[in-house]
Formats: sequence, C-alpha cells, structure tokens
Amino acid sequence: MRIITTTIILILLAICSSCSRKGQEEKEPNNSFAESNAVVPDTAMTGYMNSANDRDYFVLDAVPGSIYDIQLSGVKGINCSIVIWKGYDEPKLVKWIDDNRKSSPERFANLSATGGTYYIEILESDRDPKKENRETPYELRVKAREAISEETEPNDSKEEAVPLTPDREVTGFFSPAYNRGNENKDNLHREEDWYMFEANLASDSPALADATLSGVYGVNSVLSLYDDDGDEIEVSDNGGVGEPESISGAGIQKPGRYYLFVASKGYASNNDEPYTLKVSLREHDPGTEMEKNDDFDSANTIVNNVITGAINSRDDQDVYLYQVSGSTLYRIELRPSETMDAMLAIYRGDKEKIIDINNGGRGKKEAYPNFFTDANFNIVVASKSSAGTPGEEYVLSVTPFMNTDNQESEPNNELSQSNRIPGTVMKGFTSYKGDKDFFLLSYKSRVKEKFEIKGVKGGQIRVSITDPLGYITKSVDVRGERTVTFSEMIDKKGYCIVESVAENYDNPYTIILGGGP
Amino acid sequence: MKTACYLVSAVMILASFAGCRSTNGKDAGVIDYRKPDKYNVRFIGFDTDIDNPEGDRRSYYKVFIDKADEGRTTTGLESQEKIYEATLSPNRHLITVEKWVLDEKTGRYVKLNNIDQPKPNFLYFDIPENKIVLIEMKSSRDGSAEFSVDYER
Repeated sequence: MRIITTTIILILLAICSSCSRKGQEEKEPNNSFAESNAVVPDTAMTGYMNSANDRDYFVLDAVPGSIYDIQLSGVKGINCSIVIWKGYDEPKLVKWIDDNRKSSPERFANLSATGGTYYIEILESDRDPKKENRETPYELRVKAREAISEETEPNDSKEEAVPLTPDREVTGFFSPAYNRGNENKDNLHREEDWYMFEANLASDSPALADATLSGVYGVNSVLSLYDDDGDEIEVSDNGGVGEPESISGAGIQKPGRYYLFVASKGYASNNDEPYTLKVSLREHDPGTEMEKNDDFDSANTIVNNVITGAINSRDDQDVYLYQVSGSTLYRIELRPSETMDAMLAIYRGDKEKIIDINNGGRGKKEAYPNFFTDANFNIVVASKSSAGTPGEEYVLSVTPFMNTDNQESEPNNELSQSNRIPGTVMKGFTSYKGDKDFFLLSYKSRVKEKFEIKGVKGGQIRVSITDPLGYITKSVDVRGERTVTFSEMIDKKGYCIVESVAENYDNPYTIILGGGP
Repeated sequence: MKTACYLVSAVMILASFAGCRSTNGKDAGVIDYRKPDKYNVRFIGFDTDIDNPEGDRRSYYKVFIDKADEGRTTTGLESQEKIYEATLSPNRHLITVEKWVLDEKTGRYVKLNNIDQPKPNFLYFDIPENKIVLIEMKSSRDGSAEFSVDYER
C-alpha cells in the first residue's frame, strides 16, 4: 500500500512538473508579432535560440499604471538582448535593452505600462557573433507591481519627460545601462531619464530651484537642469560612484516649464536600488546668489553690499557685479564654509583683471582690503578645494569706505601705481600674500626725512625707502603693531615700499612722515 | 720851509706806496671764501679709474660723522660725484664713509665687502668759522682712496 501511494505521488508530481514546464516554454514558431507567445506576469518563460538569427516574440497584455520588471537570464555563449514594442496593430519600439556581453543576463527594471499590448522580442545582440543554442534555454521573467510615485519609462527625451511636483520625491532606476534607441553622437546609447516641472512664479521676481538626486550603489550619476529652450541652467556632477548629486539655488528667471535630466556615467546601471529625485522651488532673496551666474553676462548684481552663494561643482564659478556710486575705496571680503578653499578675482568695468586672491586656505576668509575704483566692478568667486565639495557656501561682502583721506588705494603694487602721500600720514593694508604697496615721496630739495612706522597687528611688514629710481637704500622690518622710527635721505624724489612679510587683512599699518601732522 | 716840503712829499710818497701795496695784497693774497648757509661741510666721493660702463655701478656712500650715522650721499654711477652736505659745529671732526653699490638682481643697494671698501675711508678735519669745508675722496679700483680738503669759494 505504501509503495503504491508513493508511486502515485511521484507520478502526479511528474505530471504536474511536465504540465508546468510545458506552460512556460515558448512555442515555436514565435518569430513575429503575429506569432508571439503570451507571457504571464510573475511566471517564468523559457525559450531557445534555435538559430543564430532566431527571434522570439512574447506578448504582454499590460495593466495601466503597472510597472514591469523584465528579466532575461544569461545563456552560455550567447549574447541576448531584449526589444520592447508597444501597440497591437503597428508596434512601435519602446526600448532596446542590450547591456551585457554573452552569457550574461539582461534586465529592464521598470517599464511603465499605459495599458494595451506590449511585445517583448528576444534576439541575439549584434555586439557578439551570433550562434544557435538548442541545449541551454533562456528564461524570461516579467514581474509586475504597482507604480508608486516613480519614473514612467520610457522617459528618454525631453518630449517624454515625466512631470514632477515640487517638494514630492519620485523614484527611478538607472536601468537599463544601454538604450540602443539613443542615437545622440555625444552620448550614444546612453540611458537618460527626463523630468519636467512647472515654475509658476507668483510675481515678476525670480525663484530658485534646488534639486537632489540620491546616490545609488555602483552608479556615478549626473543631474542637470534645463530651461524650456534647452539651455542648461545648472549641472551637478560632483559625487563619485554611489554618491548623490545636488543643484542648489538655480535661477528660475521666468515662469514656465523646466527640465531635470538624470543619467549615469560610464553606462553603469543598478536594477535593484532606485534613485530618489526631488525638486523644490523657493523665493529668490536678492541677498542670495542665483545660478547660472558663471560668466560676466549672467553676473548677479550685489545689492545691499552682501550676497551669499555656493559653489555647486568643481568647475563652478560665481560672477557678481558691484555697481559703484562714485570713486571710493572698498573692502571686499569673502567668508567661505569650513571645507572651501575660496578664490577671489576682481575685474574692473571693462573686464580688466585687477587681482587674484587666494591667501587664506581652506575655511579661511579672503579679503582685498583697500580697492579703489570709480567704475563698476566684477567679482568672481571659485573654489580651489581639490575635491570640489558641492554646496560649499560663502558670504561675499563689499564695504565702501566713507572716509578715504590718508588711505592707501589698491592697486598700488608697482612704481607706476604709487600712491601720493597727501599729508604726513598714510594708512594701508597688506592685501594679499607678498603684497607690495608703493608710495611716492616728493620734495623740493634733498631732505633727510624721518619715518615713523606703526606696524600691522597680527602681521609683519618690511618698509623700504628708495632712491629716485626706485632702488632700495634702506629697509626696516616691523613686527606686529610695534612702532619703528628711522631717517633716510630723499634725493628730492623717492619711494616708500611696504612689503607684507606676514599678512593680516584686518588691521592697517600707518606711515607718519616728519614726526606727524 | 724846504724841510716841511720834503716831509710832506715823503709822507705823500709813503702814503702812495702804502695804498699801492694794500690794493696789490688784496688781489694776490686774500681769498674770498663762501660763507656757510645751508651747510658748512661738503663731501664728494667718486671713482677715478672707471673706463668701462659695465663696471660703472650705481652707488652711494653712507656717511658717518664722529661715528654717528648721519645719512648718505646722493646716488650715482661710481664715476660720478656723489655728494653729502651737512652743518657741523666749528670743531675737529671725523668723517667715515662706507660704499654701497646697487645689486641689480634684487633692486637694492648692498654694502661693498670690506676688502673692497675705500682705504682709507676716514678723515679728520677742522670746521672753521665762516667757511665751508670741501672734502673730496677719489677712489680707484684697487681700493685705494685719496682725500683732499679745501674751502668752498
């Protein structure tokens, strides 16, 4: 009795097994849309590459709003690929997945179905020699799930961009690695995900857009923001493999449609771990930088003498315009975040570069204490930080001096730029590493002048007196805020040169001639 | 009467001689020295045997009076006169000079090595009342120096 029972169970199992395998196997010929085999979600389907040019078609009756994860197992020695078509009467190409080489599986993690008929075509890739394999089957598996606030593939172009709602996260996949439908020569076969959002500005004032893209294991991603004309506003490509990207303070100048673009670098993919994308809009405060301000034409105007900004990528630079109301002296100061090695360049109205400043190092402020100008000027802020940490924030301030009497006027870095000393007292600053300030000494006859030098608190200067040709006849070092007095002959004309030995950009030095006023 | 005439004649002749001698003495023996105004001592230093422009360096002399640093001469080529002027009290004084030359690489004057300094580099001199003392120092390439003193006229 026991033997009979066991035998019956084995027979039933064999029958079940046989029936099951029969239901999941392709039925040749299925070499065209018309001959396609129906594929049932969440059920494995096996098939063979019966010839080198065999094509197996499967048809999927998609449920609207569903996401289908299409997986094709590897076949030893064969490089398979998947082509997805949509439409019953005239199927149109949706996606061509051909990521890996022979013997490897293929996968498209999130086909977003709008309902209707989809065809899945299995064929051999032309990236390897084609050959038949009647021994090892492939296995096609289509998994279905419900879409929850996620990317709707295909969204491979601006025209197919997925609508985004600001402040709401959306998920997507870096899948597949290759999109054979992308014929753009610059990024051939790159898989791209496009998103779109509407910027409804309440008033004429611009807004700022912030966007974040989470990091995904094994993927080095890039995130870009475009306007409706296709002009790139901002790009974030700072993070490495597995690291996030972010855009901060991108300028939304006018109401309308804007686009976010997500892609992986090096055709990397991850079919299991989704990315998260979010965009936010906020009002633009005139005291805050508005990207894109990477060149003189797009410079942000500094109002109220202060502006905050951020370096968003390794190549980012922020350009500002300061509009002067008259000729005077300005103190320009840049306070970076702890990680930022800030650089500062100043250009006069006609884009003539006045100076590059990078004295402080990481996390240290930069300053140009005594800039004299009577024309509008530009300030370019950049970061020297080797890693190019994104979101390096800074505060840039421009302070006009009300009283400029007896104040050094930068640039006075060479004989031809020498400042005249109008009375008997002159104050100046060490403005950058190795700064040299030149002052003209002029008398009606040869004199023996007495110099009283009050040094720079927290710094050190070297004061030199020259002959009429500018050759140094005497030098003295002044450490800290000590006072040093000396005399030197001036042959009617000479120069006083103040050279910074140890810089301090906050405290001035003072030169007093002939015992003072 | 005759005797009186002889005496008058003799006096007149003597007076005439005296007058002539006085006039001649002023022209030939009394020098009209310039009186001090802005200075009463003037030092002039220069090299005498510079014959090559490439070796004619820009230079000056630092001047010490009675061992105190009092300044420097004007600057000029070694072959040119470099001048220092000062007002000193009537007394005997010591002037010492130190030669500095331009280092064109650094753009600053540097003190010449001791071995190349003028020798001698000092002079004792007197400042008289109402006269300007001229001190001239002629140097040569081998370092030898020759001082001469005069009064400015």
